[in-house]
Amino acid sequence: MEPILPLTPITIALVKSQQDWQRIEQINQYHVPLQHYSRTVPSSWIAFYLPRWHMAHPYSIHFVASIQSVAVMQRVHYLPDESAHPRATHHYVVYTLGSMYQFRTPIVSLRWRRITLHQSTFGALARAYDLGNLSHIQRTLNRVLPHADDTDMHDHLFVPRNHPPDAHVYSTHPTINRTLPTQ
Amino acid sequence: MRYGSSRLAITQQPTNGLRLYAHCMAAVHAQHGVVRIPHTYAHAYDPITRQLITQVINDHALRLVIHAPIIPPSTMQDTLERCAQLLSDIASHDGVIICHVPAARTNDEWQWMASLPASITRYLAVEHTLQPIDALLSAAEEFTIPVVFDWLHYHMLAPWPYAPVDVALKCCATWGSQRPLIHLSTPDTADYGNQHRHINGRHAAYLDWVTHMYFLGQLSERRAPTCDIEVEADAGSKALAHFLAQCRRHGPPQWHHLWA
Ligand SMILES: [Zn+2]
Repeated sequence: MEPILPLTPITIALVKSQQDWQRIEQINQYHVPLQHYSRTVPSSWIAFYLPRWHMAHPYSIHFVASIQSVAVMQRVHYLPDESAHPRATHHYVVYTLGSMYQFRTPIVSLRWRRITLHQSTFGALARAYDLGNLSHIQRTLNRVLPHADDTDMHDHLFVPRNHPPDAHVYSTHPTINRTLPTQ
Repeated sequence: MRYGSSRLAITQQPTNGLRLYAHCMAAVHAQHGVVRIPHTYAHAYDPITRQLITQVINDHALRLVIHAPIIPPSTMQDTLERCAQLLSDIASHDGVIICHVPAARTNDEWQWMASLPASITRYLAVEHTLQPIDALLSAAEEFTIPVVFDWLHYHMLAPWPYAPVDVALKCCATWGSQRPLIHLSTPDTADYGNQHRHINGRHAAYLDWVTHMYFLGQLSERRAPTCDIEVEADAGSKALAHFLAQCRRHGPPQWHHLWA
């Protein structure tokens, strides 16, 4: 497996709905409208930002998947069941995903930000407490990290899938307690 | 927690005792508990001035921090003597003199510092600058001189695994029964073109409050001792006030005691 270096690029992508998330988990597929493809970064990794609808991990990035292949297709061709969809004939960039990993320290969006597609690196993701800090941390890393840095971050970066997140991740979120159902 | 900012000095120039007194009063006015004074303020003052300063330090529980020049400590014994003399003259029992040790000469410098008389070493601390933290921590343990954790310096070394909280806890442990001192600042990522090439490690005007609120909150959750914080930012007291205001407004209730 190829190592994950601090400057390994990664696309952060919004998972808009439960349905999109099921498609990611069950058929290992994620798509981006072709006109938005320029906002992604050429990379073999994609991280998923789960917004408010996700009950267990809202407003945060917990999961990252490797990308096995990328193809441009009309929606109707890879989702034949949805041939009546208004954008059935539109072109999408379709990612076929490989294994899914879970971050040891998830990145939470503390200050509200509208995220659809964002370019970052593993080095920045591993250092950010808050999504809002990513670009700032990236600028610092670009300056201080030698481009030949070959530290493999894999082992410290991930935990086994479905590892419970640190309690503090959500206990301190400014709005999250209001949106989570009470147990 | 006591907080202070790096930019409060009325002047860096050699000065008289009333300036130092005014400096302490400015800190009180800004509600700082940690007062960084330039080493150029360290002189033997007359007894009345000394008494004034002693009183303001006592009344407001001020902790004085003197930053020694950034040169090898062994080249400035007289400066260190002067600083220690001032701290003892004004009865600053928890005063600190911060030294910076070049990475290449770590051992010689530590040995030299440890050999100084106790009247100086009782105030000495070494700041974590751009050097591997492990070597620094083992020297600190060997020579029993505490380490000031500097968040920016740690961050700019881009270490992996990235664990500022773990390392800060280790630095806190070097302070023994004294209150640990920690430096917080945010890297300046503005683009100055080619004119300023040595800007790695420069700090920004303000603090990135989310990062530092979490840093302090996690330190507290990991049962760090109560620390004193120096905020190193160009906007000085304003940056600190802004940081504390954001923490009070957005911080989780269980961390409120940190910035109450
Ligand atoms: Zn510092």
